Amino acid sequence: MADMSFAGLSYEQVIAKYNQTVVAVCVMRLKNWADAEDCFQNTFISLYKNSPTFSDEAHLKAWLIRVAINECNSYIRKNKKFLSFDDRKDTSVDFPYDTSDMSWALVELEPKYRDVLYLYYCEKYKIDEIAEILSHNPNTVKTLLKRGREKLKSIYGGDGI
Amino acid sequence: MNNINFDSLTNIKAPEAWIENALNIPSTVEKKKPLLFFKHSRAIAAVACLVLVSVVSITIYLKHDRLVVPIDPNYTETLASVCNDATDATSDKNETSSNQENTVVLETQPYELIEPTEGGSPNSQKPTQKPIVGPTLPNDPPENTEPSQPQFEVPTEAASHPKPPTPTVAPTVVPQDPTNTQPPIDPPPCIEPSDPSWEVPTVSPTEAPPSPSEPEFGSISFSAQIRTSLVSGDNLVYCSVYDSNNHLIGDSNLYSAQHKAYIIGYSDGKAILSYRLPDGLITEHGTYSYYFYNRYGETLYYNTKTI
Repeated sequence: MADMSFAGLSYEQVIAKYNQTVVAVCVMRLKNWADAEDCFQNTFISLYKNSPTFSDEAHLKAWLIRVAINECNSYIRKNKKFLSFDDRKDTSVDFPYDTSDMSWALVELEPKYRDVLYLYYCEKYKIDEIAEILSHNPNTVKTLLKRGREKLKSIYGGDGI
Repeated sequence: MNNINFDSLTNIKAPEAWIENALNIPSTVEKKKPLLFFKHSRAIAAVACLVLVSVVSITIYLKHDRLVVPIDPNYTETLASVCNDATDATSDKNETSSNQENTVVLETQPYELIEPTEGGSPNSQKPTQKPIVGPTLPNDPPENTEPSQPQFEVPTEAASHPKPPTPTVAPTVVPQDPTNTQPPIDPPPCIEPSDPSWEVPTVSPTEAPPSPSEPEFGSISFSAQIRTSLVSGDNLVYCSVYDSNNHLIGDSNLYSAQHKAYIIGYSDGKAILSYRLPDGLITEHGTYSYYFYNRYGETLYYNTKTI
């Protein structure tokens, strides 16, 4: 473990630096702590097992986000038949309603808009970078971003975004 | 964006337990070791394909080269018939003689497989030989022959003969009753001879074997299998037969029509050669050597045959 390095960071340093990003992606996607934990762990297991080579930390962060999204998608797909709203109520994530903090509205969006808005506003990625992470065309990302804003506005009922 | 933000989402903290578990992943999860195979998978796959193709090619080549085609005992008859047809096509004989030769070949074919030592002198009983006993023999040719039919049909063992009044006896069987006035050998079942004398039995049970000056052997065939590549483009193959004293049997011109052999078929990369020695050229038992050669004199096949 000591000799593992990811873009100049050790495995522990990667966890310490990027755990928040991975948690945010998982929680935003699954809206459930228990499910998010599984995907969180799987993301770092994948990092450790595959030990990919990263050119820089930006590449490492983009890889973690991409893997976390994929893990969440796989988790949802695998557990589609077994998920129950009642069972998940205990561990569901609730973002408080706030007029300035729009997190609660963001998680209500469709996943395709949610991912783009999250990466653009929370992770401060550019259009091209989002397109690379999500394997989309930049124009598609622009479209998703525009429509996502409109949908988010319709959810929280105001303007300003 | 004016006043709104996503702080709740961006500032979300991972529970300590999650981080601890993530830190313990290296001790619990066995790291996947990169295999050399995956790094050079394309090169290895290419080499593997090359090796596979080479092995398969060599295997097929060797298998093809060593394949031996078993010759069915009945195959000799087929070869002889085909060869005889080819001979007829190229010979300059008149039609009548060709018909007679056809008859000879077809009728004598079963007798070639009989050992001469068995049953006395089976060759002396060949119905194909010219009749040596004339009107003194008790049997006359059948009356209902059809002289207008110029050519004999190929005799088949399964065919029944409507004419002979006596039960059919195997041609090689010598009648046990010496007083029997019936000819010892029935003519082949389906033969409709144009010449009535052909129906006359050649040997009576009490008759002595033919004199040595007469031909004891019918036409004898020699066959061989050689690789197709040895056959030249013109497909001209010849065969010469030598006796134990290394004397040439037949025409001294090794490229005459008498020495012409035929390619009667191909089987698994091998050409099947057949040569039929004309009647009467071999009159003694012994070991004969025969050569198949092309028009350039190159020996294609050599073997000996005991007759």
